Amino acid sequence: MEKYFLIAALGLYAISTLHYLLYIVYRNEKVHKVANYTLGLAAGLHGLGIADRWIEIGHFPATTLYESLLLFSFLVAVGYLILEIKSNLPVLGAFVSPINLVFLIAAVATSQLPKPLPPALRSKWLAIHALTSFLGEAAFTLSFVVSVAYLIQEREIRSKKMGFFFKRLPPLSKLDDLNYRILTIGFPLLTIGIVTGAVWANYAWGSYWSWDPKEVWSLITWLVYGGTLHARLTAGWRGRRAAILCIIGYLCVLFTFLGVNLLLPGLHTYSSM
Amino acid sequence: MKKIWSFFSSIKTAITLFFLIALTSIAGTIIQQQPTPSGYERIYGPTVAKIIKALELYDMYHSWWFQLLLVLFAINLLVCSIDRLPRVLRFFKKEERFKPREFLDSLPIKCTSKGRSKDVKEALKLVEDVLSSHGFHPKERVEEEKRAYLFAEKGLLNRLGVYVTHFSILIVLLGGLIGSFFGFTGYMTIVEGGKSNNVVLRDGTSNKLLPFVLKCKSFEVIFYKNRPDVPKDYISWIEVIDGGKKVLEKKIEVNHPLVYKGIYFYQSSYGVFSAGEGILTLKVKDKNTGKVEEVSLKVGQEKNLPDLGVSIRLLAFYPDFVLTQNGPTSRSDELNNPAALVEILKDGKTINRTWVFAFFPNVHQKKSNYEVKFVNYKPVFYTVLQVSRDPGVWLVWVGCILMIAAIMMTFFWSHRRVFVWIEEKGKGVEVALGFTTNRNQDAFREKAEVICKNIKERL
Repeated sequence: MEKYFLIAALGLYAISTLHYLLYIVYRNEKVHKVANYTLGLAAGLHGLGIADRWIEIGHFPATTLYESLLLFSFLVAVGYLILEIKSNLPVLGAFVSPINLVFLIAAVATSQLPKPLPPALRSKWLAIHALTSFLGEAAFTLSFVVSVAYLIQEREIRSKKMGFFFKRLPPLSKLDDLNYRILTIGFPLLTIGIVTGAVWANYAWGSYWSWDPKEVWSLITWLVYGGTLHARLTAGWRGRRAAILCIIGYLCVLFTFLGVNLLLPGLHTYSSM
Repeated sequence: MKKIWSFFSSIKTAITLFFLIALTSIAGTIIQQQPTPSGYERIYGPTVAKIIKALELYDMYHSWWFQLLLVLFAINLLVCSIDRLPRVLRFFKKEERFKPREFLDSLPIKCTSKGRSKDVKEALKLVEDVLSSHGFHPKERVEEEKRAYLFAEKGLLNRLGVYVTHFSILIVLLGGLIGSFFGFTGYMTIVEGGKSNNVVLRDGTSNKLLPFVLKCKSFEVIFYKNRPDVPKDYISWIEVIDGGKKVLEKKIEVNHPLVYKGIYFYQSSYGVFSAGEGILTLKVKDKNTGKVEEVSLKVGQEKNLPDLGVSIRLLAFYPDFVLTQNGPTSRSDELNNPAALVEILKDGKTINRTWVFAFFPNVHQKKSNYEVKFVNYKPVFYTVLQVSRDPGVWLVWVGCILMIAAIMMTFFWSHRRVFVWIEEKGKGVEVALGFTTNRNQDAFREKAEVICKNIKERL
């Protein structure tokens, strides 16, 4: 069943992405409705696909690259739906949905049959740690998108060419404020993700922190976002600088999530297999 | 001294340290970390290997310069907090809640309404009601004949969130420091049936004797039912013997350590101690009656099979059976081709002697009334337990919980204040409201507009 849910979800995501792109061009409310509803439906089926796998394998589905990407893109989709309701900025869908589509296609491309869980991963902390970490990373994906939108809008304004995006993207202050609000959700989640990982590591390996690459990269990510928040709140680094820092932060997120598993050795590498 | 203080209390220093620690940390994720600088020449060449050695990049997170960065980070955190705390503590003082009317001009959100139907007293009551209905309970109230003043606030503790966060990070670092100075980590190897109190410390050269003894009663590997080649769990059945007496019996499995006297024992790894001296389990069937009985025994042992009315003796066991000119022998200690030579006895007399092969169940069974089948063979294992004592770990957890709570307190709340001046003006009253918040002004502006509208409508 999982397969059919995901194929249907993938198709709907593609339709939704197309309509979000059409929406930013034509700004037609009907097109937006189609984009929004298909995204909601796609996320629903996506969620059912994950639930189906969860039931089938009997543990939280976040132990292989495929499962991780599947969960991550689901959380990005749900996160975006919430963002759209809260901020009322459907133009951002044209940025989020293609990125998320790439993540889901990558997931499907690495699709694999479930594998038995290695002994160290058989723990109740798996669900808590993976969910909080991926929620944080999903929030940072949205922050990345808002930052990119900010930089595009800023360029248009600077060049004094009231071009394609200028009319469509919200004012800079709104994007900047939105970005800050997303960070204030992502940063606590990342912190909880790191702490729950430390608690789990202490149960499984007898050490809450052993400087393994995944841990170090999550610390680097935490420091970059922590630095961004400090620069913003205390030194007044808003707008362009904050947006650039958030993009750097997101590169760290991606490296923590994917780069470490695919390129570096360490305790978390089982998920790259 | 003043210069040092201002260096450490500067936000620039803080942000520089944030990015410096983040940037340097990358090196240790690329270069393999190990306790000694050996083997790098082969991978990176002599020049880079020298740099790795000089900068201690082979164990960079414990190098003097990285530890120095962490110490600078901690000092910076402490000095910044001490430096800025007084600016925040003033919000807890009474003076800060009383402001003259002119203060309104400096506030970012404000509104003024005039009404003719109410006097000062009634207007005050109305404002209090509206504010209360929005969760702002008046904290200060001054009522005079022709004017009144009101102060209400929410989320005052948010002002402390940042400082509690900083403090919690210092607690975590302190916990880590205590652990590295007063704790230890090592490994303990115990053969099944054996005892040990010897811990080989992580550096591999020194050891530590525990004041009590651990006995490994048995060790087992559990496999997945549907995937008999994939391990599901490793379990050591352990007895703790303290002062010559058994005080505790517990199984240690992955993710479920044993704790005794503050020392944690984790299932770390295992191995085969002796392949030939394990326990063989066989299934014996009486072909005439169809009765089946299972039996487990070691080499040289004889066991009764009461249901079948005979006994069985294990004469020899070969984990990796091969037939040579000198007769049967074992090629290795691996269980590549387990084979056993058994005999069935009745009333002390051998009635049948046969070979049993694990992988060839139907081979070599002599014509006999008894059929013997291999069930499994469990060699003598040794278990490796990771042993650690960390007297600082509780501080780390206290710090972590505090950190999560404080970060949420900082970001999810804000300190919102409302100042109200009511004054008799001509034949009516004028109500001036000023709002201020330390975070998320846009959201508060929306709320303030609703409050102002409510007051205006009823004034």
